Amino acid sequence: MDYLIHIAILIGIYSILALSLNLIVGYTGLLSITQAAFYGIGAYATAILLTSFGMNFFLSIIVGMIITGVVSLAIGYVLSKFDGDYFALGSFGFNIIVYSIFLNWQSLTRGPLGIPGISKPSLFGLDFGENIIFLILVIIFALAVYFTSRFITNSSFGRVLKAIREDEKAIEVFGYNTLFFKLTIFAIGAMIASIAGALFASYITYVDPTSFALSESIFILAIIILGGLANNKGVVLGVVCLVILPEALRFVGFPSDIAAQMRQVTYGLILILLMLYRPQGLLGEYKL
Amino acid sequence: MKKIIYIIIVIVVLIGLIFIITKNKTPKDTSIIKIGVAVDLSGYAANWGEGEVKAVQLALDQYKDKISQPVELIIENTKGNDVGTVSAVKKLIEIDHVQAIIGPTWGDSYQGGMPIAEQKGIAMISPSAAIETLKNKEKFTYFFSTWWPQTSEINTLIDHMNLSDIKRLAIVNDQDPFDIEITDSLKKNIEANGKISVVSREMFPVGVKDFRTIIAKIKSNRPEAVFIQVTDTSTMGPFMKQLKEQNVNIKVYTTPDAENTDNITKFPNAFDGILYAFPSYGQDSSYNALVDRLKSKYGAGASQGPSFVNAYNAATMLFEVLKGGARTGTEIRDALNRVNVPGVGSKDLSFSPQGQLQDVTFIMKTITNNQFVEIK
Repeated sequence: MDYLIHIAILIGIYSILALSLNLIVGYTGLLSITQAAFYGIGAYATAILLTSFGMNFFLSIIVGMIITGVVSLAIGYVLSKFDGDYFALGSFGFNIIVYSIFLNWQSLTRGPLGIPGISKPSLFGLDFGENIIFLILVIIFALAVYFTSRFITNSSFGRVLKAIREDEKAIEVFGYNTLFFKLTIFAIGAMIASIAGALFASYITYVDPTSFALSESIFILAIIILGGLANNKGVVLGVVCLVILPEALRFVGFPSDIAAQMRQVTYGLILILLMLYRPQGLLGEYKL
Repeated sequence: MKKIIYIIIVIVVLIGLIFIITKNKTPKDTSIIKIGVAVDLSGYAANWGEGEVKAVQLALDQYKDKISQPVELIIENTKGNDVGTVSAVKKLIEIDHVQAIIGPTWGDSYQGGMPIAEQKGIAMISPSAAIETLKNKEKFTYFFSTWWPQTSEINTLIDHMNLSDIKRLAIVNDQDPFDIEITDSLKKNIEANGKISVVSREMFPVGVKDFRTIIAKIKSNRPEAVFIQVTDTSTMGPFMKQLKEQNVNIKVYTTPDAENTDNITKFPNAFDGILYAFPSYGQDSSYNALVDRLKSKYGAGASQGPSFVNAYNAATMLFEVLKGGARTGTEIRDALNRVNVPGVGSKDLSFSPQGQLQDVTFIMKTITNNQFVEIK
């Protein structure tokens, strides 16, 4: 049962991450490949605050969100100078910078040695150390993020985001300050990603830079493309598929000598087939 | 269309979950001893993990008739990251009900798996995790490693540098935790020794293959030797090749990772002259016999990976305690703390109180005409 709970926790954490990126890529059309950086900032904030300062986990989430929000506003402002592919490349570069900071700022992050011994959350005497209770916490956060995301996208603010995605110039003609909208959603997405980072750090109990490399950003992007851009249900479906699939493949009886390779080939093949037959994703409303 | 997709996905997910739950509910088969092998079979350390799996299988071949019950190996890929390690360890413990785990590969990825094994009381023996890099090791009483302790290795290297009258040394290493730890330790010991000065130290991210700038910087400091430590074994070849291309003819020191048949095959002659410390089993008949068995089972070109012997010794120690009747997690852990068994290169494989393989002596070796040769 614990293994299933583990998979469910991963689904919850990745759902938060994917929903956060969907706000930026799916609803606003900003092809950002930097979500792992914000995820990492949240994770490191929690790891450092819990292990070095003994701060409460929930307080560390708030601090992590503030730090991530400030950083994302700064980088979002820089990235706002770019359009389309250049925006993607810029965000790509930002992920590499943050990764390098995690790796090299050894006095703060312990560099490649990582930070072990991160404690599980507790609140008013309630301990979230048991995995089942931690899962409930993750579900609460995931649902909160899901409904926040739905609220944002169904609001007039969300409609402006979609309009920016469809034709930024046109919406500017109507007097909308698109920079404000883009920066705001970029910061909101980043802050939500930092929540996922905090949960990840506390769950795995150890963080090191390899968990927040560029490949992680690409994985999150793959989730939302597979699930369906600009569709929150689709995104959660994408998470379920991409988290469960490699785990389910552990149960396929390949010969042990080639099992790992065969699982990877099968995983890749399934993704290719999905993209061939559903290029807009499983439930997508928008195609990049 | 959307409804159809929903239905298909829900059915697939349900089948998957039912399958996992059914496996989960399957009562433990106590007639078979299940041993998990959780190693990296993809990513940077795949070369290590593949060698580790072969070594464990070879050890099992030796022991299967000596243990009173059949032993089944369940092999899982840890993918070289925290999430992969946690998933593999959880699956092995929760679904497969293994009695012990050999793995994981390396040091960086195991830290997510250790608390789980500790909580569930399942012993883990890693063939390639450096205990020295681990913070709070005392909290993890179920964790062991057959990777070599660093002190003896470092002293052997420094002794050779002193014998060769090296006065100026450059250090190059990647940003892998183990590599940082061992180079830090080497630097500290060299400085304490006082005869050699470290003229430069260059660090780079794991996986870098273009060393031309680094080599130019090394050259400008005029060292008499360079010590290199990299984790991704495929980066060692480019370094050696580029060193020769830039006419830097100085002694190159490294660690046992140099003894890697894959590198020799991919970069013939590039490694000639490299100097490295290696556990003294290099010339041991038990080592040669093991390599012969590897070739006979997996073919002449079978790759060993750098932790092949360590994995064989890890499996030997585990199977020895199973032979002695230990079955539960606590019994296995306690027996591992006491075990003393002949292994490859050592007549007395045993663990220190920190769970690290102890009493390993090192010799200096080099590569000549693509052959690993002991320096007398």
